[in-house]
Amino acid sequence: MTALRSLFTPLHGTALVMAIIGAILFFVLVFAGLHALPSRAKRSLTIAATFLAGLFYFLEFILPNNFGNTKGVGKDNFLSPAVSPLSDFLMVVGAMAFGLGLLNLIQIHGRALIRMRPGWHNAFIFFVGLIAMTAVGITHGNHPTAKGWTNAYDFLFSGLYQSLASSVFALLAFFIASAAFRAFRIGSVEATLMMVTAFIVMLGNVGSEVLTGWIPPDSAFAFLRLDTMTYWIMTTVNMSAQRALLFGIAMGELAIALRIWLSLERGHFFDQD
Amino acid sequence: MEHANGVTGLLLLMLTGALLWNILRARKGHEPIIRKIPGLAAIDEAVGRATEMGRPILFSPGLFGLDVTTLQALSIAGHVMRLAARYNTRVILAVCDTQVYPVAEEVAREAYNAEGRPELFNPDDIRFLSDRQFAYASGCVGIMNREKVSGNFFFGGFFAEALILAEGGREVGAIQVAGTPSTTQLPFLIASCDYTIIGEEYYAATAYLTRDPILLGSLVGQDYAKIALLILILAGTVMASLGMTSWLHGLQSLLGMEGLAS
Amino acid sequence: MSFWTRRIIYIVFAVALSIPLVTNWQVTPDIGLEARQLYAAVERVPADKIILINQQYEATTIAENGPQTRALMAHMMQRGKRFAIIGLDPVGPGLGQQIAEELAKKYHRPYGETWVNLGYNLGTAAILKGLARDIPGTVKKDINGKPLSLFPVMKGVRTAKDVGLLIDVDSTSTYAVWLAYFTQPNQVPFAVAPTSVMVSDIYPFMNSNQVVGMLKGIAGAAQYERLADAPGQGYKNRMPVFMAHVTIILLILVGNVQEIQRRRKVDAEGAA
Repeated sequence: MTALRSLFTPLHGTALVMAIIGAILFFVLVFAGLHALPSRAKRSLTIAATFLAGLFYFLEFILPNNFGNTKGVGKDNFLSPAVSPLSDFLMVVGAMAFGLGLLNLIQIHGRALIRMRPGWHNAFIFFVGLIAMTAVGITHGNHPTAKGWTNAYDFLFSGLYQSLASSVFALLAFFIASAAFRAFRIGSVEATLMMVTAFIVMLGNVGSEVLTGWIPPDSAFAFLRLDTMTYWIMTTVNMSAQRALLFGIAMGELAIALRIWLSLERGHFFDQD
Repeated sequence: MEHANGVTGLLLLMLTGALLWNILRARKGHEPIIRKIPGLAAIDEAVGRATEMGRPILFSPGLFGLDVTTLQALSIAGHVMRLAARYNTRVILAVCDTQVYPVAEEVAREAYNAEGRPELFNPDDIRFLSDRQFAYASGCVGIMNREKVSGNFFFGGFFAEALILAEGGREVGAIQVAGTPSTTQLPFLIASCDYTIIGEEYYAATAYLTRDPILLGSLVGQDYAKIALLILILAGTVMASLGMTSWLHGLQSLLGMEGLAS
Repeated sequence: MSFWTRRIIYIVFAVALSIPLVTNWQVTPDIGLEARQLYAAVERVPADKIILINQQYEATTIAENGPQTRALMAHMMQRGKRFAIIGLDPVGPGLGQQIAEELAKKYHRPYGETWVNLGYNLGTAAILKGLARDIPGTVKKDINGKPLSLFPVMKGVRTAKDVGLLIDVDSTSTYAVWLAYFTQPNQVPFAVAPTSVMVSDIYPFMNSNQVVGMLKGIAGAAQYERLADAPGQGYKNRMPVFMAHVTIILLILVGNVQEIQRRRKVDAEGAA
């Protein structure tokens, strides 16, 4: 464990530079070696790596508090100190993947622009947006008090991006209206029940005061208030269904996690054929 | 919960045991029968219809990161691509997460190779659109309109953009199949898609599509585990109804829930 | 559905939504149990503990999550409750900051005295576990890069035990992560302010007391504004939502009338 901890101790100065160079060389060699392996060996290695990674998190969770923890700090077991550095490692891998995504966008839009494919103007706008936001974002980050860059950043982020994103979200209201118009057709007892329930919940959540607010909440007729009916539907009928779905989904997730961990899953990247 | 206590560990081992036992039984040749799931059965039909129309298919693996939900979505994407490769139909895979993107590309490449049609694999059809929810949704709807897609597959974890995707697809007249464990988005997908796979059916997809006995065994294991949970719930209900509160409080304390569920 | 039917629906809908906005129609909301419970949970937080407000939303859902945040912060500033804004996504804490700065002027609560912004923290499970053990050690600096030790509001705040309530203002279902890694293991009371569409997901957790209170979308924000006596965007945005619901119901009824007529026509043609 001491060796594991020393691996995650922050370095500074020359040691840090050497560590970075060493890590790059090490991984270049590892990837070259992996690339040279026959596909059967690659698959075995993937299975082993998947199992070991899964085993780490499984043991970290299942081993009780303070298990093997000589320092007796908090609720750690002896594997817990490695969780945070491993999360950092995963984040670094994730950050690398960000470059891949950007590269894909540049490739697709670059080709569209160079070959003047139909819709090339969209690709052009993409590059304008990408360059402008990157330049303004970085400069604003480095000079947060410079007014010109702050205004430019506010214009691009708050003025353009946030407004556009909010507008797309707002479109949902229109889509819900057209979907409801089409989908809620009374064809059976179940469909009718669903429609009536939807009406009660919609009106009960917002606007029950307008329609049934005049019924005193402590009277014998309080059950006729839309908000009372809505509360009953949500906490009795809906909650039971939600719980049943949650149990099923949780079991499904447990099963698939187990299958991936043990490399039993069949799909196109797990395939054993 | 930071680490499992006795009861949680026992529960986890019990549920895992039920799954593993059924997987082992299936391995020994006890092949279970599972019911028909219309949404999954419709995948073949949707690819067939897209082929008849001669237009591409759009597949969205959702907005979640690289987790079990997305891995399952990519498995289904691989199946769709294999089917499409047989009929020479183009599939556009639109990705929202940069970590998912390289895996998606690999899935697509392997799917075309598996069907003996590596020449059909076009890296430009595996697209990272944006990691921002509504920018991604706009990108997908843009593809639907520009490419005049004939089929849309929405499998994975979704948030509010689900209805934008599904209604956008409906407007271009595409056949749509969706599946998600995101319960909040199910009503929207059901309203706008031709077929929707709900809840745990989503996680049954690989077993259903491949008919692999091991995976079918794990599905039966899930049912056994759920029965075990139901027995526990029933026992708790009976104890609460009979006023055996000291037992209940003891159980809550073992589960680390003291002071919460009073 | 034809091209024009769809457009007519959109126009009717836009007009219905605009009426309450133009006429400024407002109705005092009835207060639901969920909002009342959250209000009581905030009131119960003792002076030596802090409230964490997780801002897990972007500008897209600001119409719902913004008024929720404003109502909650208004209540806390009125009562002098200590609170810290936090986020697991980059945009949320910035949006929370804007709202808090605006309210701070009104209620005379300077930054750092009763409230602080811990900014955006990358990572989920690891960060939440870290926060539970050591808040200043995990976050270290506020949103502007200043050490947390500079702020009186952080005095005595070390671990999850010093957190009196965690409120997750959420549009992306992050509540489950907070529940699993922060509130449940450390017995911290937990409340959620979700968007309307997420409300049905929260009830099972309220029933088991793992969530002590909830603001149901814009309706919840309006109810909390009434409780805190701080009417604002919640009151304003609620009536367009009501009109939207009524319009949807009318559209469903029109759709059904059309469907019945179509079926009759088909039956009549079949009989002929």
